[in-house]
Amino acid sequence: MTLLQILNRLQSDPYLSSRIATWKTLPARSARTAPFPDAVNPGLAGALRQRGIESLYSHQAEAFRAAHAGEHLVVVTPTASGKTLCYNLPVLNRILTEPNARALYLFPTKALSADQVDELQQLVHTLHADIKTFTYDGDTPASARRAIRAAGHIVVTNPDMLHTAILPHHTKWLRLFENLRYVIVDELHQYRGVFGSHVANVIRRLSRICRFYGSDPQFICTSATIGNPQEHAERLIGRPVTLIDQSGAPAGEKVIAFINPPVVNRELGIRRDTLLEVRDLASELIRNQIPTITFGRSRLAAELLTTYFKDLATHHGRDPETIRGYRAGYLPSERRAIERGLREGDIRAVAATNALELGIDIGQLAAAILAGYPGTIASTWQQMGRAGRTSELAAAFLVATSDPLDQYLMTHPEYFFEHSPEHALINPDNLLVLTSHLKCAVFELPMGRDEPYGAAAQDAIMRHLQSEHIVHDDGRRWHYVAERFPAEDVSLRSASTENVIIIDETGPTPHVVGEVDLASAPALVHEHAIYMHLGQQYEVQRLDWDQRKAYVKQVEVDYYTDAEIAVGIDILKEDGGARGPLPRAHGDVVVTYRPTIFKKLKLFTQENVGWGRINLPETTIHTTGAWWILPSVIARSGPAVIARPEGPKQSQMWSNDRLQGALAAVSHALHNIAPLYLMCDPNDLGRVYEIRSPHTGHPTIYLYERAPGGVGLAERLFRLHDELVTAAIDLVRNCGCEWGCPSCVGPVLEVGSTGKADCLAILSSVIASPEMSSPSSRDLEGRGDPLLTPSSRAQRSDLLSDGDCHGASPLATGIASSLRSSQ
Amino acid sequence: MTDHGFDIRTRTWPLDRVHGLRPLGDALHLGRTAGPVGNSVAWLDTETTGLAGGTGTYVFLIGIASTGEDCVSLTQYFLRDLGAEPEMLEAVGDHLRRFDALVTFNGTRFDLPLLQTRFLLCRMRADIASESHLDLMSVARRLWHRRLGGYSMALLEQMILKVERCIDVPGWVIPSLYVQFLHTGDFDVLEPVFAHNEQDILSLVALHGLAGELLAHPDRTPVVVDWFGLGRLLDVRGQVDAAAGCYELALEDEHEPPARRRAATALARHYRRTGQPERLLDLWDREAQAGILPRWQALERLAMVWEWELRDPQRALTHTEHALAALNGDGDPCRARLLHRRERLQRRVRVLTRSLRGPEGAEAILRREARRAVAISSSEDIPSLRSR
Repeated sequence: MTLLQILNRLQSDPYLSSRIATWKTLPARSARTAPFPDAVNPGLAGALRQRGIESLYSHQAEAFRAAHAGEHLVVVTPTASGKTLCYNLPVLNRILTEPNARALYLFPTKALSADQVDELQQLVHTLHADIKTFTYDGDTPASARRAIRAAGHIVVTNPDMLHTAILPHHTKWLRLFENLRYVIVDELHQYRGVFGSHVANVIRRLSRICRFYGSDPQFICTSATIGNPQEHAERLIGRPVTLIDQSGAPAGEKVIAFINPPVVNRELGIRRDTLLEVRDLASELIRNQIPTITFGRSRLAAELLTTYFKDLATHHGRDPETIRGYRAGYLPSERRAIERGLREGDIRAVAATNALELGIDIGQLAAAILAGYPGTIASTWQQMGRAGRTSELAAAFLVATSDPLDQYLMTHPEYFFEHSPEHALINPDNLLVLTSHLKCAVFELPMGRDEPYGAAAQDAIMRHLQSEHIVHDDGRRWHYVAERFPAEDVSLRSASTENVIIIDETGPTPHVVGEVDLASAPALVHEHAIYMHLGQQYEVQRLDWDQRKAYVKQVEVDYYTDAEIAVGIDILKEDGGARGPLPRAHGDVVVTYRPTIFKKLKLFTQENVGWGRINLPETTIHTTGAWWILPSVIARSGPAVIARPEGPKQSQMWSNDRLQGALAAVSHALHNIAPLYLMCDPNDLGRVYEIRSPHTGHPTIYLYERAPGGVGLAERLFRLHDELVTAAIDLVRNCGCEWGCPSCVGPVLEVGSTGKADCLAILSSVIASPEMSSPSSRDLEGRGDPLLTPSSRAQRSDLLSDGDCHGASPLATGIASSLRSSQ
Repeated sequence: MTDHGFDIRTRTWPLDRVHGLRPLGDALHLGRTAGPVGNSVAWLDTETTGLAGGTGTYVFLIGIASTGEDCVSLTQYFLRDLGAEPEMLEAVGDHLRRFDALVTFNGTRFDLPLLQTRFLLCRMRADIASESHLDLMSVARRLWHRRLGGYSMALLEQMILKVERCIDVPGWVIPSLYVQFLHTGDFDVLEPVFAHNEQDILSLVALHGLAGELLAHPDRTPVVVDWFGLGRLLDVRGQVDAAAGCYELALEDEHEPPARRRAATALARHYRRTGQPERLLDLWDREAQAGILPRWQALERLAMVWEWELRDPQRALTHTEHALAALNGDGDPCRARLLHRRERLQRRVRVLTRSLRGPEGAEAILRREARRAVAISSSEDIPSLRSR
């Protein structure tokens, strides 16, 4: 069967078509091309022709013209539209006419840079020109570094290396900085939130160094679709940019379908398991060898899907070796082999995490299946963009989970199709971020009293650094005088880079099969966990926590394991509060994760076949949180004392069970709606509630940030309160369920038969109350210092090092389901 | 002497002042043997605001010593005001241009690149790196690392030069004292830093003298020394016979296999180059008996001597067989190398035996084999020696 026939069957078969929540066809687009502009060096045009490029797509020609005219620019076009030529062309052209010219390429990850260097080098090779391209990263041998500094025309690196290795030693890079003509910032959308704010400051420092050496490079940025590419680029590089977002690349017709698994238990509001649904959907695609990519929301989901797909392949008489998994934790060589296999067609289906969402070149596939909503409109489009071919039909499916956000999209598809993708937000003037980078900047070059660095509070910060004996004022300039090498103390990415190495001891010589980041290790590689890698099952024999090593042996079992992590929370400091019927506050909290038990779940049926204890030390993170307090007077006497628009008045006391149900329901509703307002991943926020909080003395609901230190999401939650509550009421009220379901206040088993109604009553009372939503004077006073305000503006969406799935819980349903109140 | 935000201090020591083992005058004289090439030498040591390097590390004190009229004279440039760095560096540059050679301790990795960076940041010509330069740290590493377990200046002063510092600040405190001065203007806190720099310079001169003395008279060393390291230094300078003497001394009490292999290999190279096959055989025979190196390794070397130096494939083959027999187990990766050698030798022995009977003269075959042997020996055996 062809893809078209498979799609037709999906629509016509009543059993299958009942699952289709939305079906949209995006029409084909034909190519718009332009001849090589006159300014393109004839040799370069010749080399391109030799490589089969006879003319440029319109956006490539436009980018060249803008670059040639000296503008900074940002190019936003779909995957596989020839984005890299948008910068390679002006760069190579410049070096051909000016052999001393240099260019700096910045990529967010190593994998990406490896890909791009390959492509660039092939082009240079065809060109027969003496243009040297070097990658300068942590893996570059010391012996090669000197040559790269002196002779590399194009230096490919990442913001982290620029930050710690290049800028602080800029005198060694004299040649590069004196002659720097272009800075390429690829995958601009990756530089969001705190990470982006750091990178914006690294770029400010880069600009300073260039000024010192008398160069003024042009910036060429590329980005996946985001809501505000031009604004984002301008904030990131601190200069006006030209936006090029009209792709001239052709595209075949594309079907986008939302698939909602059928409800299997109406009372509990539970739908059929998403992964099983994905398996059934993929079955025909695999049987017909349609090149397919599937995105799971967690590493475990990706591995389970790999297992299912290999099984399907065998069932259909196809080679299971044409099916692969792809996620963070695979060794780089394994990843490269899978990417190559996809490009060359040896691999027909891959089950990946969002580690493959980046601009990694895997060619163009015919079908993409998203096992669950990835959390943002932007990444949904990016993942769906993996399916798309220049002329033929392609299809992308979003298969919903029971998660509230997924269900919301199934009933409100216009939310996805009509909303613009999320904005990428950064705040380069975030006090902490700015201070760190001013230290680095003054280390790199003494800073003049009125030197334009780009930030407002510069002078005050420098005076603060002087009082800390970090800088010294000689009357005209600030000098760095501390001993510490400042760049070493500043990590651009907030996630720890520590890993647990996974060692296979099955054979006579133990070898490393993979790695897992420290935060996920307790859930994924605790003793007796089944760890899956490339579809192979391993049982963890021993986890050496201090040495960061997990020893595993290959096994073949019919179950997988899913760990539960108990979460506790303590308030360290309250930064601001507001009174009212539902008093609330935000501040510093410490969150404790204690792995408790793991369940053994049968493959394919998810049947529970056993469990065990996990004996690991608890881990704590310091972060920020927002919390809501149900005053005992309300909780104990019921919502009767507050205005209740619907339902009869109640006067009896609430039982503990009922109170717990109400707390669970309100916390669910708030947690469900918050990501839409914060533009973060649902996993960025954790949820805890306590019947009687030791800190507040009352029933309390907490939402906290999972990123250590927090990035301002909690404070934003506190400030967005009214909108948040209104939206939560909407969500709960308009939900079709009777007693509560995962889409609104949580499943009835958790919230009880009164949970939904109580939740509505509590939330409604907040909106009805006139004195609500005014922050206390204490809160306002707390904001008096202008240096303290910017932190709240930073947005975090994806700060983990490789963009892979976050959170400790491996199941696609997310940690939220395994959270338990801490008492 | 205060001048434009930086200070210049000078002081001198008489030539008969003893620092370390000898008077300074002797050290100046003896040091010439160790280099560097040049007519006028300066000894240089700096104090900085940090040890990490990078563009944010300032050089706030630069001590430059040289030979004066019947004295050693030291000039210290002190950066009183960070803003005066360009002026100070200009003066330092002028001062350094009076000399054509530099002696430092760790200057290659620390002082000189740092100064180079400071000059660049002040937009000044920086040609100090191109000067003739002797970094005594590399010499000290060869001479004493294995004997002392380190080669820091402090350790060398204590164990080798026998210099005692009465009042001294540890090096790691110095940056913070300077920062303290910048913030308080209290100059007194820096007095120990100036003294520290003076001591460093004196020890530098003394160490330079000692290095020269060891190289000039390796047969009468006044201090403990790593003989192998001294041999290597002499080898590099072309004093091959003296070097061989050191290697022989090194073998006398060396019980660590890697070090012993290094010394024996170096000595063997000397015997080979000077055409002393008897000593070569003797050396590896002794190593085969000594029981420190694996026996098969010594036997393999003997096979190599017989094959390439003495051109006796039959005996080379015998030693190869012995080496194979002495090898532990089948898993040894060196086994393949030995098997390869045995195969080649067996072929040559066969050819030799056949040619003695055949029409082609044995001599011609042997000559051809010898030509091939030269080619092979340069491409095969030598790297395998070096890789040890």
